[in-house]
Amino acid sequence: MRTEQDALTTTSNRLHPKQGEVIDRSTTIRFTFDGVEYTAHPGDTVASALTAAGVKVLSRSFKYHRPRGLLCCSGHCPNCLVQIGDEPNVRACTRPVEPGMEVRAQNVWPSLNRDLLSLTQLGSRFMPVGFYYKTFIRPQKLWPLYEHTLRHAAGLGEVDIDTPLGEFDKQYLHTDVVIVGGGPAGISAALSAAETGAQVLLFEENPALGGHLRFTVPLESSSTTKASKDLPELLEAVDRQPNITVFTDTSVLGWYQDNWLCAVKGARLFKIRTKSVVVATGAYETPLIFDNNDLPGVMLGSAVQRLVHLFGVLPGGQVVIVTANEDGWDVAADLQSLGVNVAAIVDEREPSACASPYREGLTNAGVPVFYRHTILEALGSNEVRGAKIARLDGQGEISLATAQSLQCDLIVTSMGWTPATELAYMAGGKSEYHEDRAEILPVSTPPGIYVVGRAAGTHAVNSQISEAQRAGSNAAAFVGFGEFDESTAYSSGVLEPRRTSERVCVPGKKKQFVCYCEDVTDEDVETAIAEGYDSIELLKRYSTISMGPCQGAMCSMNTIHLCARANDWTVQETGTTTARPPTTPVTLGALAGQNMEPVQTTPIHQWHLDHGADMMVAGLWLRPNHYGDPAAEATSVRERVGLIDVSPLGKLQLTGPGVPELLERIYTNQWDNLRVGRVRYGVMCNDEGVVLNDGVCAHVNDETWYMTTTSTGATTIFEWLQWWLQSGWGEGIHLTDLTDTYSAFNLAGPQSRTVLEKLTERNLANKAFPYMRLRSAKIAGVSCRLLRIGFTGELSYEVHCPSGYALHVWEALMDAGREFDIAPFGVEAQRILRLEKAHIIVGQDTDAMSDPLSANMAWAVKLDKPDFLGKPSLMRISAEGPKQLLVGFKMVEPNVVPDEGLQIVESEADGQLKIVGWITSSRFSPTLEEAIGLCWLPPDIASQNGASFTIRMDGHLAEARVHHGAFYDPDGERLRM
Amino acid sequence: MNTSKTPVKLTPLHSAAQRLGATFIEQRGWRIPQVYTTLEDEVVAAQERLTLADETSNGKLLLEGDQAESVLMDTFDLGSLKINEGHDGIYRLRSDLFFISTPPGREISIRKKLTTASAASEQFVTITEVTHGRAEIRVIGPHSQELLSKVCGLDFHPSAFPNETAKQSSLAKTTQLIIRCDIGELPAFSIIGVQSLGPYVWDTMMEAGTEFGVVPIGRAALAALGEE
Ligand code: FES
Ligand code: FES
Repeated sequence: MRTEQDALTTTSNRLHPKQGEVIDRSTTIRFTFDGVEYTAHPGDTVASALTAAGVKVLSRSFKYHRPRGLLCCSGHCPNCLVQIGDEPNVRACTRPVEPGMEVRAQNVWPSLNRDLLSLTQLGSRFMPVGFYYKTFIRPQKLWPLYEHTLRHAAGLGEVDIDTPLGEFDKQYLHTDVVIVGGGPAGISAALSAAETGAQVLLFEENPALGGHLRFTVPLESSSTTKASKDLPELLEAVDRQPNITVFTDTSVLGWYQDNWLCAVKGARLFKIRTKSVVVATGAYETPLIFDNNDLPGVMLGSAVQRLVHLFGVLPGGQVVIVTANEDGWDVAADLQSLGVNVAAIVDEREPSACASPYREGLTNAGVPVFYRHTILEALGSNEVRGAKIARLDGQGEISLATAQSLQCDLIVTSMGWTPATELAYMAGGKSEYHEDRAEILPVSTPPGIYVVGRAAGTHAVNSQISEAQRAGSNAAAFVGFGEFDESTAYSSGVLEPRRTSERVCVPGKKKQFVCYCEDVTDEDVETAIAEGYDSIELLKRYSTISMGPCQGAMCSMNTIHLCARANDWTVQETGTTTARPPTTPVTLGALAGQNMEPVQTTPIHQWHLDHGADMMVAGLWLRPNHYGDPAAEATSVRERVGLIDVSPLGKLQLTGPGVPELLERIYTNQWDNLRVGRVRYGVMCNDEGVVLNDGVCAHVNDETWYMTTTSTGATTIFEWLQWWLQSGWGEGIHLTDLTDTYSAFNLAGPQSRTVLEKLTERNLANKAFPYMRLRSAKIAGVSCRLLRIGFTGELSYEVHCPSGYALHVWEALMDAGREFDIAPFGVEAQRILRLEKAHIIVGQDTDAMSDPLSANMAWAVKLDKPDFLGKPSLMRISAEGPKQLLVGFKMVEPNVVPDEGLQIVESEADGQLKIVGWITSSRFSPTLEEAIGLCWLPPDIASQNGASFTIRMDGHLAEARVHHGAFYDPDGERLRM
Repeated sequence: MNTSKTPVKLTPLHSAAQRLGATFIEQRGWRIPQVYTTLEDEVVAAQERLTLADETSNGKLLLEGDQAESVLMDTFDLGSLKINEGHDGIYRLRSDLFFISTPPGREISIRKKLTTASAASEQFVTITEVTHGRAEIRVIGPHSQELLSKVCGLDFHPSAFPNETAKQSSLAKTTQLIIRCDIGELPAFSIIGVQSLGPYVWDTMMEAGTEFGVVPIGRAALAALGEE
């Protein structure tokens, strides 16, 4: 045994080096906490380094701003949440220190040690459980003030909205068996599953495998003796086993249907598909509820052991250990062997119930032991200065007359364990309360899900190992590797002596915290139950117990006991709350993963950029909006020639004898008479007669049709057609999406024919190649399809070429057009040009209610066809008459361009303005030199050419007049030149 | 008529290759990256780490129809294929849909053969060439599976995704056809999807592959690795 002299360094709480520690003492690094510089060794966590420096208060509580210090040291409570740089809510006890790290306390004002917000405790009677439903709601007009103040006082950490996007990503994993938890049970399960040949993924939330064996001491006769000595052996076996992949620092957040697990390691999210799961997640040590139980210096036994053995740090020099099991005695022996002054062991049991192998040694060493005693209060204001203890009478009640105070700076509680079985319950496992063990343990799990180790209530290491080996082979057998071991899975733990006390709360007069995260006291629980929130689920929702950062790890078991007691129910009757992901907090960044936003570009994309295009997003496509001056681009089309990249147009190939019939069914106009080489415009409607899409379709040869759709509707229409083909209309039809196979450019303007003639031998004369025809031709040496159509209202040719040749053809067209001052034009110029022709854009001028009869496309609807999609609805609309009509308009003041979306209003008798329509498209026409547009109007106005109506502009009204027909070249002569 | 320039086919990844400093060669009318850095480095990267290559110039045909399989069997010496299974560049995607991958340029002759066979059989079969419409990115190297597991939910382990298997899946939120086509012992996958998404898929995989030291490789390295 070491002496105190040996164990403690003189300058800090750091112990002398010892085996198993994870710090590198040869190097010292510096970091700051609230502006003060501290030192650490690589391997230290922020909390271990601060504890080594004597810092006890790390945070302030959520509601009352009470000082909080280390409680669990395992990442399972809220007490060490800090802000590191711009990252809030970091657990100081698990985050390794990095050189130069800037750590700050969060949620404090003005400082951690003098947080004036702690004065809220004085007003705690105004903030009972559920106070936000009860107080601060009157007078209503003061709510903004209350809200501002409450928001300032509450909340955890600060989010800096200027923080650059992090490097998050995700990865999919597939395996036969997943083991969650890398303690002795998890490792053993992994080894036996892997031995059968199954692929195993082993997840451990800590930086290394080993679980509690990493920080419990292999003293003689201890239950952990053999296994601790075996830990290196187990780790070596894992290393040697090629079928096991280990993920440390990785938390499994949830189980979803069909063994779909989600885990997170730093900035990476794993989505895991497995065939079976072994839950070896261990247990949370359960805190005891007593007066001031949240005072810094009150810690769980396992937390102290972690600090001592992993980081060589002692959190106190004079310790009172409060216990009800052998684990507390283990901690006492452990600390005593390191030379710590164990001021007392306070054991609530009779001496005869204590079976600790250290009992004799500790007693002989003069450690005072108080059997049948428990703790009443942690003494001290900002940190522990002592412990008040008292005797329990024959009924287990506190005998206040026996109360006495002991001096100490550390109170360690070891009262029992809450199995960490959330994943098993998410997977559909069932649990039962074992009275003799005072633990809720799994009793059944769905096929392929196994629970082992402390999670199954098995604490003795050798039992953990044998039970886990069996579960590991069964998990593999479930997947088809090896044989099932038929012995029961959950037998080991329930045979062990009790480790957990039923006494979860020692009644008192001061604040006693049940839920540390949400600052809920035992009194709050009683109040909530008295108010009628008696079921455990209601109690959770009303009080927010177990909804904090630890997700109930520290409070759920105690709450169930308190709830049972207050209702006079059994724990079994009280039940548990539903386990839901995530088991531990996860950043939104990790859930979002790598920023993947698909973007579609045409083969001419780089050319557009090189020529100054201002790009816009249309669906997933990036398209040139304009190249600097859209009005000039439009003029160039009207007067000379322009070229636009329309590659995003949907292009579908339909082949087979069944196509004409399909076209009749999906378009509203007639198709079965379309001859080879001809092109026709068509409108598609859904069952309700609402316009879905429009475009042209060409009859290429006997068996082939070539359909174009709007750019943003291409995928939808392809899928929609597929749906109809698979629903019985597919006989004799094949559908192929050629959107990407062909790139398309529209060469438009009076000079377009002359330009194109320079690149082809095909006769382009109007007679040989009239309007609404399709021809194939070699353009600049490339076989292309030419469609003579005209969205812009000018003579124009849509050139469709294989995409690999797109740049070649585009550049050849630009070169050929140079002598005519050709200009590339973008989407904006195209919109101006089509508006001058009063052509609609589906989705802009139409919406989810627009039918073609109302949308000025009645000419494209043949109601006398036998049948087509939307016909019954259109028949009804035709009979009843449309309620609104889409119509063109001109502004009375030619320079005033109303915004798209503005309302059209009418004065009512009482002077109020009634909305009667709205603007869908509007532009200043460079050709007509006046503002024009399209709008929806009631039929009585829309049907009168020249009728005037009023548009509600920003702050004033403007007058416009209905305009029938195209604004430009109404007879379409320029298209047919 | 002015056709002064000889037509040249560019892949959708051409601009990306230019940015990455590739030198180009012309092969079967396609301008394709020959080498990005040095042949040696690119070969070593493929053998030891992770590489991406632009193989868009490979011919691509779709054969659709209830009788597509019998037309294929008549044309090639081919046994029956299960869905997702492939042989010699022919992959069955659905019961009535096959994807045919050919070395650059050979799609023309294969298409002719199939057209003749389908005409002779008088079956309703549609043969469509989609070479220009699909970008093809080859992922080569020991870290191929890990890279793909970051962008796609499929199981890429050889037991679940053996060589000469083709699966359609979502990859980086886009629809892609993924074909396992190892080079000897070296794991390799072809990622085939619409060309307009090619640059995005390339950039996404380059970014996801950074941790594995991904680099682009050209035709020369592919040839050195034993690819035609
Ligand atoms: S002390 Fe850090 S989470 Fe509990
Ligand atoms: S203590 Fe964390 S949720 Fe209650």
